[in-house]
Amino acid sequence: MKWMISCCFLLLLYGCSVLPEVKPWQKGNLAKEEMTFGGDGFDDAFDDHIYFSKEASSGGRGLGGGGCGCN
Amino acid sequence: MKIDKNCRWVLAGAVGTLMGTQSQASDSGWQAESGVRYYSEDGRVTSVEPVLQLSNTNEQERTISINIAYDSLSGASPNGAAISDQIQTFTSTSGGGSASRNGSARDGDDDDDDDEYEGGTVTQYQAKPGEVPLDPSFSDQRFAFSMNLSQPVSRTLESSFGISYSQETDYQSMGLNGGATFLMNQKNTQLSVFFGLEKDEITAAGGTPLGLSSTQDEIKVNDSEDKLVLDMLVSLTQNLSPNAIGQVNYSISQSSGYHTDPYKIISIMDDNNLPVDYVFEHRPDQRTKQSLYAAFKVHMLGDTLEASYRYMWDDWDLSSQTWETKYRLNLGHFYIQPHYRLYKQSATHFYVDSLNTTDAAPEFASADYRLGELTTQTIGGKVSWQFSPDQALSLRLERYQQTGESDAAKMNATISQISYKWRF
Repeated sequence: MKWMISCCFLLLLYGCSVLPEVKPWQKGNLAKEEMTFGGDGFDDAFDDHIYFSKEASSGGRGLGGGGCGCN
Repeated sequence: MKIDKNCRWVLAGAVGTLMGTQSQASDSGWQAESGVRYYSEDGRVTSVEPVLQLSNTNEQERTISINIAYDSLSGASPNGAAISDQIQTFTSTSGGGSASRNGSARDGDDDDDDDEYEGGTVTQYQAKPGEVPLDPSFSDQRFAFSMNLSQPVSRTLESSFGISYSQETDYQSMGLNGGATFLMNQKNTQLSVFFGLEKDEITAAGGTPLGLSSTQDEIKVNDSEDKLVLDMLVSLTQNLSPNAIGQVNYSISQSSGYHTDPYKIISIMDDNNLPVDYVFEHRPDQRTKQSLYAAFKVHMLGDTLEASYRYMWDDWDLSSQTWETKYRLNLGHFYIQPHYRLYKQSATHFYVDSLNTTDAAPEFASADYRLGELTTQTIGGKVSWQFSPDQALSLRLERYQQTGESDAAKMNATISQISYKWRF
């Protein structure tokens, strides 16, 4: 598992160094709510609550969550 | 100037303790989103949850967000006992499973002798031969509140802080979280670190049963139990091009205390595979979960494609993989967004379908199907109509399907939500 984590971070860091920089005037699409992580916060919260209750995994895109008995 | 304003990363909080990488581009002023969430399993639990989310960003780019939800649940929930060829009769104290030995089933066809209980009322119910034993009297209400505050500290650093609280009939949770985000590379790279602390108190109806003791002995060890959860998340978000963005997260969660479900039981089977007794489940009191999550969004042909993958593993020998994708098809003031999610998990080391009278007593055991091998799929979509610059109405409808090694894992559910978002 460690190699997977290392590879992903190295790949991303490598990507940061070689990818062309996106200039502020090129960020029109990136600024859209649909292009932000968390732009669907209302829906994500519902999903996280359901999947936390019905599966043994949680978290990933945010902190682990929980805060319920979820029988 | 407008682009700069819209592109600022705001560490808005999420519902409950789910604070993390939720970044939002927001204008100054108030924004609200309210709705009703409806979750209904075929023949099992139904949940109705009105929700209100409020957020405000001022001219100093300080954002406060507040989330309030009220959840009402009722229906039937698997109690953990295995399917039998005989009628099985169980006694329940507000979900606290106790059970009679097989063969002592009552007369009659009624599965449920008392449909409602609260605060320790004892009920009895039956599972017919070949049926998954379900406690039909599950009922609970949950109130949840959370608040987050985020603000820029400098041009390249932002901080956030949040609190959360939730209360159920038998469960209380309080949480704190905080974090910082570093903006680099002309705000094309965002590195975030978040921490969370959560303290839960479990007050099982009728007291906490002794793990792996017979349900007939009714041995209670405590009135309430605690659980402490520490979380950390590191997130790296990178603008990949003017139309693509990616994110990689690593998270670790350590919890200590009471992890057992006090209402779940395990069948003790004899050599003829017939249940002769039932014991309460017992889980380890420590758990460390880790996950690696990667997400990618691309804007193409005027639409947005989103894909993500999560690998999670823990020290209960459970690992899982989750694939998820959404495609937002923009049609003027409307958009349609199909959604597909696939989840697969392996079993924890202490998961059992049942125990045998000849088995050596295990240290830990649970027959909760959610700890066994499980595959789930979600398929559905969302339709949204922005009928004014500041108002939008959305409807979401999905189907959730579970299968697994346990018979109890076979379950289908409907997920629906209607919401209204407006700025003022």
